Amino acid sequence: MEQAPDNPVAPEQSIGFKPGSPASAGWIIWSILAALWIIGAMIAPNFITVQNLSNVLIKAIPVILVSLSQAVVLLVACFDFTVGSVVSLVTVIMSHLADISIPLAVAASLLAAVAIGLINGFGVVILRVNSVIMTFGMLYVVQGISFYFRPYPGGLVPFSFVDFLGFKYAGFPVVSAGLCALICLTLLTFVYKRQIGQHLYATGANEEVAQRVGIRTTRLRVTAYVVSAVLAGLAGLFVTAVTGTGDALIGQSYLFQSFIVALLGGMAITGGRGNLFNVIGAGLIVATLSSLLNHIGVNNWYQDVMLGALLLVVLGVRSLYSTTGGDG
Amino acid sequence: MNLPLLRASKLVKRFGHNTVLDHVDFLVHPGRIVGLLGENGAGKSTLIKCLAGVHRLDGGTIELDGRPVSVTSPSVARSEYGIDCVFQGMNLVPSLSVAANIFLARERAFYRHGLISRRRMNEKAAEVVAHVLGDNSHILDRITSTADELSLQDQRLIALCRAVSGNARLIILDEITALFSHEQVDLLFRIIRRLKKMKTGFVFISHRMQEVFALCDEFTVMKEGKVVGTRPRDQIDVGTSITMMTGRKAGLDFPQMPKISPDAPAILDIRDLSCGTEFRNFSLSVRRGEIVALAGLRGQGQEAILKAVFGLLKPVSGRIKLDGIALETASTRTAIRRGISYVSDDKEAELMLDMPIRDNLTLPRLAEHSRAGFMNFSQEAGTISDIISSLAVKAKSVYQPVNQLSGGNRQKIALGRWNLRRTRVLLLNEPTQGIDIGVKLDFYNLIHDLSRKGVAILLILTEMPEILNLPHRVLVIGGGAIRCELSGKDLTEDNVLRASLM
Repeated sequence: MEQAPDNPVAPEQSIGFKPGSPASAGWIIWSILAALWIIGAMIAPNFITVQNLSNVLIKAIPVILVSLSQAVVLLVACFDFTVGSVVSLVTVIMSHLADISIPLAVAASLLAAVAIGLINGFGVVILRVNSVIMTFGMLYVVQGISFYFRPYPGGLVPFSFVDFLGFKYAGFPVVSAGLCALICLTLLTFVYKRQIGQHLYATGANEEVAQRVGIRTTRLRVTAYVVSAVLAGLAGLFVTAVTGTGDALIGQSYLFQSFIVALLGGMAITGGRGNLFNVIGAGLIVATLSSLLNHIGVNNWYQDVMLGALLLVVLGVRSLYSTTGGDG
Repeated sequence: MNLPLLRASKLVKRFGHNTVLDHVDFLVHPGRIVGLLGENGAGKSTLIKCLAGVHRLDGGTIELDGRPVSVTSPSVARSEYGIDCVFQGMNLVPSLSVAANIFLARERAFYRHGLISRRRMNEKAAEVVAHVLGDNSHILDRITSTADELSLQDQRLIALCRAVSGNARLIILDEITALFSHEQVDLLFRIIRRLKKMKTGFVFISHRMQEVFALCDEFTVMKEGKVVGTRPRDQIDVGTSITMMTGRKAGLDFPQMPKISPDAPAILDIRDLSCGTEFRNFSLSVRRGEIVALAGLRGQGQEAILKAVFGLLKPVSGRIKLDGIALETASTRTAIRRGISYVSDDKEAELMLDMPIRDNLTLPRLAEHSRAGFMNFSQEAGTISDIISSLAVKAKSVYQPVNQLSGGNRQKIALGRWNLRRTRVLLLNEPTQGIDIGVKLDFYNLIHDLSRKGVAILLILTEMPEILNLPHRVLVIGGGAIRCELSGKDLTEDNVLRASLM
């Protein structure tokens, strides 16, 4: 990238689809992803195969969706601890209702997600409960409901649902990858091509300025929570298609991943900063890294260590590059 | 003259028992720039916040073009009545582009097939910038940069562009020339003069008197929440405006100032202390029992000086001596051990508000009340009751949480935390800010008592009666340097204001 000596950031960079800009450090994300694939091709013989690429993609889809879900709420300077439990709840709902009717089960899952998002938003905005406390409480409420309906993992989702989302063409999961791409594209379009996105950034970055120009920040925060819950619900549908059963605990690991990926992707926990496009890249990194480490036989717990270390390194590098100081 | 753009009549605003605006009348005519003058706390910022919808009024009416309006929120002020503000602080969303900031909350105008057309938005933003700031403005090259890549000065100019592009009819500029260079001020003034030809009205606030008098067409002078007078440019100058700002009704009875003996030794001795942009080459010597006040406008480096003495800020050069022995800088631990006590103006940072009085008072000195690592509670209780009675703290019990106390009592607790018997130097930042008059008097007596006991006191004051009556000596600080030193007969309101403002 060209840089004038006295002007470390080129002027054409601003929020948009452009992945790379030192300010948002997106280029770090996409270079790491490229580097992982190159390293993988060199050291693990079976890494670049249709089979493996397809596996990585299937793993990455729910990770990307829950991370975007977290990122949307981080944009307005809030947290959402319910993303994982929404994933679990959706698998439980699907495991009970999909037998009766798949469209009914999907609709019920997404409605439940919307309801959770509304309750979160209501608690944070109207009751003014701190977003960590509010969503942490809701995490347990939702988890309890899932346990009530499915104390032990079980139930079987109809094969038609699993086969539809798992459909492969030339070895690639084209249906789920295509749907995930569609979801991401829709989200990015709303955030970067319609005014609601500008207002999300404004609300998170400086609520006072936002209110002064007439942005309804409370309504916007509720919207962010609903969008977040729906994205988590969609992630739950993809998870159900892979596991084929209902499990009240399966979402737990996604909660932590959503934070790691969103932060890795450059979202600021203080709100109003970061690019959702880079969060998608970060989701791909996490899925790729875990596949690569599996290939070379690294234990699961070392994988967590490496993922955590990667996050710290990237945040460190980013704050060195950042023009405004560390905001990660 | 024809119909005024804005006519505010008999505006009243109270905060608690404090009447901050007392039947204020204020006029702005289209195409005119009104300079709003007054010392700290005269009510200027409250007035503009009421006009901009930030504060709700307790009385009075606002008319625009002769029609009464009700400015209920900043967004109503902006979108319905065309009243927009540019503040000294944050005006823009840092992570959005310049163009997006100019059209924030008006993005719909750029929808094409339901999507924002960035190209059109950027083009339009460039037009606005060229129109407001001129065809050769350097900001034209930065339309797509994010706002945080621009200097604070440029950000304020962009906020001005936003106001103009939103068809604001009354633009309030609150201290926006702070940090501006001469060239930038010239540029800003050319812009404002051009805009006023389009019948836009302006309210301009600045502490730099030369600027205000170079720009404004008329002046409204405020004092103690009231308007003292409104004069056109040719009937007022810097001198008369200062005279209008000064003079006040007899207020508090200040206690007799304690005498300091002529041979009292210097306790705190600061030589050529500099700290980045905060203050430069600051030298001061405070004698035993002497009360020295740092006056001047807010935020001129006064707080940084206290912090440097207390070790919260590391000075770049210079030295501090205490009792003739050099004081290690940038170490609060050393400062406390050597007997320096500091009470900041931020009461939330000073105290643990949810915790009881007892814990707040004794936490800094638990070691004094423990033996072999175990607390001696009866000794602790004795100390606490000593402090509470000596400071006349009004509380139900020592177990009452601090946040249930009044501002004055909280301030007493913040002071009482320090072992005043050991204190050699007491640093106070606006000690009586926001507390009741009765408690203020307690504080004056307390400060004078400590002075009599030989404590050297260095404090920041902004309210004129206190500046004139509380300290032995006043240093007026401006831009991080001592503007002048006043004491005895020279310590008059006129001199303090002149030194602060000019």
